[in-house]
Amino acid sequence: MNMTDHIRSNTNLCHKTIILISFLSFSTIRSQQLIVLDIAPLNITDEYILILSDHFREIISTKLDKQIMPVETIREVLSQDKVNNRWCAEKWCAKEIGKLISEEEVIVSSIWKDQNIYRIKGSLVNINSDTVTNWHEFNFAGEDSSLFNEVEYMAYKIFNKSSPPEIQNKHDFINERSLALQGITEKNTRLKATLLSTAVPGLGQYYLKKKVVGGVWLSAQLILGSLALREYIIWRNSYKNFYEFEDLYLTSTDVSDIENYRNAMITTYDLAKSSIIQRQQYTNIISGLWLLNIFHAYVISPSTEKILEDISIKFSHKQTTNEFQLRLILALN
Amino acid sequence: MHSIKLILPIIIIFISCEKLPVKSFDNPLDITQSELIGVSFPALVFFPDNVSIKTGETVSLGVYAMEINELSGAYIQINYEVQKVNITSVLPGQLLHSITDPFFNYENDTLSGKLNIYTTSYGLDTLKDSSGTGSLANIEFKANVPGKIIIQYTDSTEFVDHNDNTIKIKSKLPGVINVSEKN
Repeated sequence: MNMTDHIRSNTNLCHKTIILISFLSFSTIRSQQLIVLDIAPLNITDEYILILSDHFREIISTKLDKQIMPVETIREVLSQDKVNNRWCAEKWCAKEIGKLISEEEVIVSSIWKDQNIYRIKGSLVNINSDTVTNWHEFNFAGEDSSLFNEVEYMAYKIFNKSSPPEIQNKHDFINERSLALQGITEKNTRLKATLLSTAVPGLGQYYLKKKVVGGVWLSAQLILGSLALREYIIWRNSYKNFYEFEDLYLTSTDVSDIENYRNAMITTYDLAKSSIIQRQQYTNIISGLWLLNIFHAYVISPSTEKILEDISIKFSHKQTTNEFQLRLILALN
Repeated sequence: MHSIKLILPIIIIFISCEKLPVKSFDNPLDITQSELIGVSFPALVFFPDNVSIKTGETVSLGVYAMEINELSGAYIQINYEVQKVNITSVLPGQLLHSITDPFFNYENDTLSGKLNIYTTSYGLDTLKDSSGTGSLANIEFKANVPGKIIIQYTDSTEFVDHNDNTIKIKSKLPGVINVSEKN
């Protein structure tokens, strides 16, 4: 071996060492990166899903401070195997891609517009342990624009982090609005109000925040109930008294006493009879009013439009309160 | 919870089955009731007129004159079933009491089952009379065998005033003793 060959050989060894070190370094750096695949769309436009995917990645990298692999790199690697990363939404697929790119953690997600419902789903898959570390699923009825917030909310949930108050508020708003839009809130509210009014008159109205009306129903029932109770007590006493007078009547041998006890028996008998009739009348009215109260609770239960209006007012108030609290904290600081 | 406690009595009332007392006027000395069932006065009745006992037990029945006017003396003959009951005692009643005890005597014919009672009211020097409703005698019976025993006034029974004029007895009502077997 001449000098030139020796130098060349050493140079090659040096190059190989540098390449190996670079590869190892690159591998080390790469192993800390997270693969966040594009959100898999179903009935969502490509343009919008790309915007949402970019937003999702941005939140993960900037707000959650995770080092993620550039999407271009992922696309490039996957394009060699003719794989479209936008069509991966399940664990098995995440596993394949993870192995292909040699990364430890992959986030796969999807958004499906199923008629009026948006079904949003995301999972953090660990390739080495072959497990889904964390996942999030949320279905809602609403608008496309809500997806922006929900994608952000999903990012926090996948990493088990609590979302900022404004994101949480918006999520709560979307959730409540979704239930209202699906008619679930209306149905549940109506059912609950009806059942409450069935259990206790006026309670359903009270639940629907018609406190005065609820009070009136309850008071009416209590007054009528008291009157019925009064008649019941009169009957009970009359019944008892009748037999006490009968005992005296049967054992008496004095004609005037007999006459007196006889009259007392007739009086108590008539009183018992009239109290039964009165009590029946009161209970009929009570029953009628009870049914009417149940019907009333059913009828005054709010419609979906009203529920949506209330939700808007509630959350606008909440937002104002939060802003005020924030300003107060800043001022105090 | 508090509301439920208030509502609960109302529900109880709502589902309760109130009933009327059973109205029956069974005192044989009840003049109003007697008139309603067609008894004419003056009348001779037993008090109580219907009684239940067990064999071997005794019961006291009062002989009562109802709505009588100016009664001074009475002869009362009572027919009873001698095989079923014994008469254990006969005592004077209250109606013919004045400042002195009335004359009172009786004969119990145990062969024919007839009890004859004689009673007269009198004062110091003359016969007294009594009016209204009251007892003339109290008879104690002892039941020997189970069954329904009917005690009746016979037609020989007679009321008189202080002039010994007969007072017509318009109704004579029987007495019933229901005897059941002693356990």
